Amino acid sequence: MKCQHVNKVCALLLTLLLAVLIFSGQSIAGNKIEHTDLVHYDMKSGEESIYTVEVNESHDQINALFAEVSPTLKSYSEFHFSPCLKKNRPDSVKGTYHLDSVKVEPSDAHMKQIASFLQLQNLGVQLTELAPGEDLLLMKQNSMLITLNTTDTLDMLATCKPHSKSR
Amino acid sequence: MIIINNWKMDASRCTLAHQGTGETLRLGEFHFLLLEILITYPDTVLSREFLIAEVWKNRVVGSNSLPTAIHALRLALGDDSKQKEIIQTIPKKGYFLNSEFISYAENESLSQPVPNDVDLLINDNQERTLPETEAVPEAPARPLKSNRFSLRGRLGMLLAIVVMTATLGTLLWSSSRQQENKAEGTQLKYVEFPDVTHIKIGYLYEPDTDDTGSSAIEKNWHPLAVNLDTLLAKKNSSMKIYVYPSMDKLSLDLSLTNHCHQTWQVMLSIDNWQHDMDKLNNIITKHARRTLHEMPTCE
Repeated sequence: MKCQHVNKVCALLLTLLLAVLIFSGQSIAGNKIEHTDLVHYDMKSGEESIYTVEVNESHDQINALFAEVSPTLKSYSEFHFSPCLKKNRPDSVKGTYHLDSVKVEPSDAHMKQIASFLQLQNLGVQLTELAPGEDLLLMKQNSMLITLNTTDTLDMLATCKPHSKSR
Repeated sequence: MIIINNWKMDASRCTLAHQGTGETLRLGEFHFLLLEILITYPDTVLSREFLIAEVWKNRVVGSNSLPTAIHALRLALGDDSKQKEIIQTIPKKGYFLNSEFISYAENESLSQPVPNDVDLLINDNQERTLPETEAVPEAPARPLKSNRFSLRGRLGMLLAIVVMTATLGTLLWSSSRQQENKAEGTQLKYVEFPDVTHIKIGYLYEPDTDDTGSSAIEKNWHPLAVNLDTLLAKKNSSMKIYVYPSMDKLSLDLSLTNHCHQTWQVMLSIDNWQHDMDKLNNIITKHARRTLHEMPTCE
């Protein structure tokens, strides 16, 4: 049983790795982030969930893949967004991600809740430039933070056309 | 100025100042907004859904966010007895604020004596009407030489107009700058500890709400930073931490880089993070340690 899990993890990580290779063809100037875990912990209940995450950011598409690896393996969830970002400071862009498509494991209550919310509401985000090739993404609605490797400059990311992309 | 149970609200600073003791409490952005909304509808039962929508807008909030915020407000207002008289809970309906505890005071600036120079702006044939409660000392009567202003009087009036225009202009400019700052979004500030060399800590905050949070981090996070720094030094590694606190959730982003420049990241999202600070430090340390351990060894 454990071995099956390991195989599943391997297959999953391979999928994630392929996704990374597809969407990051150019070299990254900053430290290349090779692996990201998302840990959600509730101090009161002591509940903890750990996901492996891959987020690929480009000026017209964002792909976020989540795989819960603990305590039990669940198939990965996919979120595909189109961004609508505008430059709000010299070092920052701000706007929304519109959910284009989603694939969530029905038994994953946490991801299901996030997906339901995103189907109703665009995700408010802000990207702040930290170093060349490195951005800090703040997802405003759920206050999540993630550092992203990027090959696009902020000017390239700030290409929102409100009438065509935002709702 | 609104006073609630002897606590004077200052909306510009999100603070409550006690009229008797002078004690000042700084409330979080959401706590203060919640209090403002409850005060806006005194003696009206406001549903949980309404309060969450008004306070947290589009944010995803946990089921405990509102009760926790109400509890915090009760503590702040001295309403922590069993009776819960100021903010009352109506089971299955919501909450309401008892208007008996609300009083209103004039702004302090209005109750200051008005300088006599103001006389220059008052036309001879015009009476200056003041609010009944405004305490202005009566200026001594001055005999007028004629119905027309003297040259000195005109110059004085001109000067006063120039000063007022400049003041108004400055206020408008300052106000527009504040609006611009608000539009700039979440800010990033770095916190430094002189004895911590392997960690870079960035703190994210909303303008005009919690920019003092970095000093709270400097005060409370030093032992954690030193522990992590020791761990990183042993592994010849470094770490960047970005922190974004909200009322119930602490969001952290840890990026750990080992000596062969491999970087792994942990996005930590901790609900009810203020519940136990020691436990919080343990969780952050545990995941930093785990990640360092799981990173591939350098070839």
